[in-house]
Amino acid sequence: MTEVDDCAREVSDGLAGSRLLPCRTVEEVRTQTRELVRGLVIAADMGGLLLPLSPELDRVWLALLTEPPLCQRVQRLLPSGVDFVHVRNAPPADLSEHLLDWVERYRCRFGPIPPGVAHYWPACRYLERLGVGLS
Amino acid sequence: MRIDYLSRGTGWAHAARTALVAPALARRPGVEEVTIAASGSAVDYFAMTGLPYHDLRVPDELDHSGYAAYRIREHLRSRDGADRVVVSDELCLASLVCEAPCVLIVCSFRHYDAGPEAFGTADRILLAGWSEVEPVPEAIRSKVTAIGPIVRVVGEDRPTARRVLDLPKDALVVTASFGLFYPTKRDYFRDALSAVLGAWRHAPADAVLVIPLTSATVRELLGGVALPDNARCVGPTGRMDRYHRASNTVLTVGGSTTSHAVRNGIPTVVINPPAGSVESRYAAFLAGRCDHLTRTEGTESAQDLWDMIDHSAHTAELAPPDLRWGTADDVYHAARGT
Repeated sequence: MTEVDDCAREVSDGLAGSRLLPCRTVEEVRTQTRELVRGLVIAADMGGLLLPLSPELDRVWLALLTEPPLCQRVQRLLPSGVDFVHVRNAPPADLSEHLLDWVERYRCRFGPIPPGVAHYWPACRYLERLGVGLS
Repeated sequence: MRIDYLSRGTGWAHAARTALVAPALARRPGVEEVTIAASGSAVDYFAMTGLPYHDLRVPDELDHSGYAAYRIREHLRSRDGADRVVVSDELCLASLVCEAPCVLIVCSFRHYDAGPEAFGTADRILLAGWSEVEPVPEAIRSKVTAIGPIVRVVGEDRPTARRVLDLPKDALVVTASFGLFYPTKRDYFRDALSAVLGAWRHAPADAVLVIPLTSATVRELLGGVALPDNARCVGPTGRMDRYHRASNTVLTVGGSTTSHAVRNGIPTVVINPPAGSVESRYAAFLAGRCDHLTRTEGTESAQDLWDMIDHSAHTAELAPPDLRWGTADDVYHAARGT
């Protein structure tokens, strides 16, 4: 398990039972937190450029923001001064270059995108629709 | 007290309200500083009007997201100094991530079910509307004050407004004041504009229909329908108060422009607000209390609608209805009380 996933595991334990994450199993929170933290790390590598998050991951981020100690735990993973900027809802075709870069960074850093989590990343769904294999 | 004022986009209603309240707060005793941070389309409003602002860089479609909460949090953390209060105009998630007392201003509770936690965390909530129209959720009732819509009272008279806007001195002037065009309102705008243009065929040739949309937006909405020569597309403008004052009657779709027209005693016709919408409820509420507001049912012929517009346009301006109207003082007292 990488340092990133260790951190995600600690954070997800802290978020378990959050009032902002009702109706989610511990396992779902764990997976979603891991994907969010991985996504933030990749975005930091990409100069803060954050690809669209699924509503599930976005909600985990909101829950994380309301827990300062957990936030600090994630921030220790990231380069100081990183300023996340969400790409606007441009047509996915306009983002293709970033999408492929993102998938490649994910694969290099964390291995293939695990089965069952691609739906947390709208970018992956788009690439799959184009017939681009995520591996 | 230093006030960090957050202003939502998704149209210009929140920004216009901010532009009215924030400078007034800055003049109140004990207020050292008021700074504005804007989300989405509110940025365009402040850029146009010249009011200093910080761009939160949150697109309208994400303004109730975790991403928006992150941007708000980072902005607030960058602010220095003690004794800070956050006043958030409909950026509801601000209360969850700010580390200072928070006053939330809302027009409605439409976001409540999606995020009751944000309302529960706010120190004070000001409903810039009427509780008869917008029932307050029981769980937060103790912290909510219904202050009424906050709108600018225009002191200027009609001849002056027409002269400044280069509108004819004596002709009939009608403004189709539907608010800032926003993609989710496309069908609504198209239907209302089509109905108005159908009715406008009966208008006298020297009358002027002011449409605060760009010609490109109107063309996109109406397809191949040609605009009459006496329709003026003036584009989105920060001078809506003045266009209202210059008009014999204002046509709205029931949103914040309705409150402004009614508050200023300007005859108003509300065009087909969607059934069950907040706009529809406000229009019904005002129609029962205000002699100079009428509303369509959506079944009128073009002639019927023109008759309503013409009748409204020949109604004298009246005193506003005896209702509660919000002021900057309401916001000031709420901020002081946190």
